[in-house]
Amino acid sequence: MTNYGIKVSQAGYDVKTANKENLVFSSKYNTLKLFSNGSGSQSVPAATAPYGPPGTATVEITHNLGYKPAFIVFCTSIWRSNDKFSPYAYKSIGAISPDGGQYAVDTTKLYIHLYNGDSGGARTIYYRYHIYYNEL
Amino acid sequence: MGDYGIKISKPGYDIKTTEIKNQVFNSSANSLKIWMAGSVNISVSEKTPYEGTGIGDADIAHNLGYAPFYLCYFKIKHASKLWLQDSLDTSMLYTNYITGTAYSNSTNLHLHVRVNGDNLAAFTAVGYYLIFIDKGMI
Repeated sequence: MTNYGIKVSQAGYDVKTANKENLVFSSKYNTLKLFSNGSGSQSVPAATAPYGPPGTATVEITHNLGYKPAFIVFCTSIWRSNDKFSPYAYKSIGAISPDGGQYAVDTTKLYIHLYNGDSGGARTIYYRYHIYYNEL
Repeated sequence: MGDYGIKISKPGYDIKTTEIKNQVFNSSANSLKIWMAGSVNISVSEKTPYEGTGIGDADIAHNLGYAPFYLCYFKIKHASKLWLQDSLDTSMLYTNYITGTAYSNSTNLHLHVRVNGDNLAAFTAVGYYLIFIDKGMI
């Protein structure tokens, strides 16, 4: 038997004939499988001068998976209220001080690099992350 | 029979009573399904003060017929860290940096790498992608 597995269709679609985009789940296709998630906050020092190099802080999350996993991170921005999270890090061409966070992963850790472009003082940035079992 | 399907709860939660947020899987809620996953080398051109653009592009054909949801990551070819799309490689941060961005349309996932700064030699970046069956837009 070479054709076996599990399929679940969306409501209103016959699972025997539904197109793949109308399935809720199919064991034929891999899915993101959550390894770990969490959240926190980090104080980031002030920029050294107006429009100068930003203050930076890095949060390291150890995963020890031994490979580079898929992930996504959201963080707040010093220019927005703390209930607004985004995966986007803004730095236009020619700009100097980035805003928000940059995110990277290697075989042992997730790195959440946070930036404060405000020279007026340290600011707290909040972050949330998901690390998946899926290898990149 | 109007109430049927599959539910799997997280450890420590009773599947008969727990909310969907405490379930690993629920057949009434869609799951992101991976259509394609892989990586591609992207040649980034030299960036000079007045010549050279310092950009590189790659298209991944997905054949879905609609713009799918996706996740992308980028790195300099021989670097150890993979950066989430729209992040910057902080090893070059302040005056020189690179950033990787992407978009999907009905035929391709388009990856784009841009370098900011001058007198930067051409290099190879690598884009890693997950393309989902699920639509990125209505």
